[in-house]
Amino acid sequence: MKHPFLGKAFLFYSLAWVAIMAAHANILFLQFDLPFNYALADSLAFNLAFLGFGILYWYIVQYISPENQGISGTILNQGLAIVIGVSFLTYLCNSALTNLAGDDATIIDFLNLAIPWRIFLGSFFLGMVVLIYYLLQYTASLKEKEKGELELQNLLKQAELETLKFQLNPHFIFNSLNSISSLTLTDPNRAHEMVVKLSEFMRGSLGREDTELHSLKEELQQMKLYLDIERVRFGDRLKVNEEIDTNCFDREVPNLIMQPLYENAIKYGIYEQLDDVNITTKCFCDEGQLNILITNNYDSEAIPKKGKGIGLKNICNRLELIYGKSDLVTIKKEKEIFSIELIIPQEKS
Amino acid sequence: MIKAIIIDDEKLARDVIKKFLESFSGIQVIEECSNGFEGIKAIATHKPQLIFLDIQMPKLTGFEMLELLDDKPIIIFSTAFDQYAIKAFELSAADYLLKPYSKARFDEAVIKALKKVDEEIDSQEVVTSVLDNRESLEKLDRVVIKNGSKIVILGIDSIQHFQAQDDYVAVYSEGQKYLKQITMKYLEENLPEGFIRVHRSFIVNIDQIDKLEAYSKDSYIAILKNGEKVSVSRNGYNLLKEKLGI
Repeated sequence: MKHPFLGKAFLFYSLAWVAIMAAHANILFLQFDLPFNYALADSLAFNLAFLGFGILYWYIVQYISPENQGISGTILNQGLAIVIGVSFLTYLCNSALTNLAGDDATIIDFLNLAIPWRIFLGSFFLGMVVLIYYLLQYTASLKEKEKGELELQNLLKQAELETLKFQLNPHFIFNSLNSISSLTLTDPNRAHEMVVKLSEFMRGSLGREDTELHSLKEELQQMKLYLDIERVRFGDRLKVNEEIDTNCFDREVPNLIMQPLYENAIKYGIYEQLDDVNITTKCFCDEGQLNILITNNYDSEAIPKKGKGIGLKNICNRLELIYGKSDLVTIKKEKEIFSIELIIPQEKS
Repeated sequence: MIKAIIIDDEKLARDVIKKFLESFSGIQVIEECSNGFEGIKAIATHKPQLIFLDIQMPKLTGFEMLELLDDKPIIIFSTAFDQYAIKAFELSAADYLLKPYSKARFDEAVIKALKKVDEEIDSQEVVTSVLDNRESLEKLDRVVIKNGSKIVILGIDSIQHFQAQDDYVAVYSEGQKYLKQITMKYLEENLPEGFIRVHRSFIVNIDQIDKLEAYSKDSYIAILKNGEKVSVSRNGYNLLKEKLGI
């Protein structure tokens, strides 16, 4: 840390000492009836010495700190250092002022009388300075700590988002590639179409930042690619409907937030029952928020193989990290219908 | 002529197999199935020598379907992505295909399988080994059982206990007893924590235990909430004590 009294603060530090000097000179002149010249000289000699010493003392404070020596150790060490320093300065002052006094008996008397007072006053001044130093040091380290903590928190949040990051399901990739390999043998045109769709979907999914927002329109386009690919895989078993309020197209949503919902619907709708699955997407919005509602039929009696809504939990966590609210996801399981609703807060422009 | 059945829920995946099989004039695809239930029925009807079996399928996985088959044909497994299944195939020297696969890889698998059909090699051993070696990321959470002509899927919590019976395991669930072809070893390794092998022949759901009684010097009997009794060996007793913290 830089010396706190050098630079702009030096002015205030000096001003405080000037006030003390004025008071000091005044008291000697008025109360003790000492000659004005002497009173001024005494005040200057004594207080300038402490002004200088006070500044230099910062470097001692650097070496004696509660972090290194504990609180009682610091108080003891500082007390000792102050008393030694002050005694030494008082001695120097007294010698200089004795020379100045010549053979004026009143001044010599005064000088002898003043020694304990000077030590007391000097210790007080220096004590104040030391206290201020420690206070400044403490607030500085506090700020530093806060800054560090903030950085740590950001880092944690980043790490958390990283783990929640949408990851392409390898099952999806390899099964899609298998569908393509099949189509190359039987229907090359459709194979080509599917390669293009898969590429577009992957281009929009890979390497995106997880906090990134894009418009609902873009999100729906991306999801259409995903569902088109899945429809090629599952054929008639997968049916898709949508009711989208086109006024909501420019609303912002987190990148690929809807994909795990469809993945979930397919997992339960396709793999946990033999019936066809109907997936319905509804989007509506008002000024402050966008609602996304996705429903699918499922078999509530089925005993699913594995995985208990980790994808959905990730959605909740992601929305909470981005928007700072925990009540943005509502899941409803009725007898044959599973529905999940997302509320995406919109910043009012 | 060798009879073959293709079991895969994705039509395009079945199409590849059919197309690739065109070069094998000795193999006839007798039926295509899009799930395990259809698979079981078709196998019972046609008694094929060879089946192509996908692992990830609706309702019943390929593995679960196999558990329900009495006679096991030669199987060529296929999966798109499942490290645990792949490990089991390798450990068991099973024939398998990773989707998507080349014609060359397909031919290799089929030729190997045809050789087994020719030599009338029993596939029982390979299948048991695959089923025993399959691991899942998570513990078993359901058990599938063939009960007469019906297929029952039991949630794991509904099961009170398992009892070894020769080549089978008897599964006791909600007052019913079902027989299933599976090994105690597989169950012991894959059941969730609440199940304990208390005896060479018994695995019990600890939530279902009502009380424990001494039977002889070295053995005990667990009385279940529904009144059924289960033998507990000294080892089993120690395991139980540890689990229940008594």
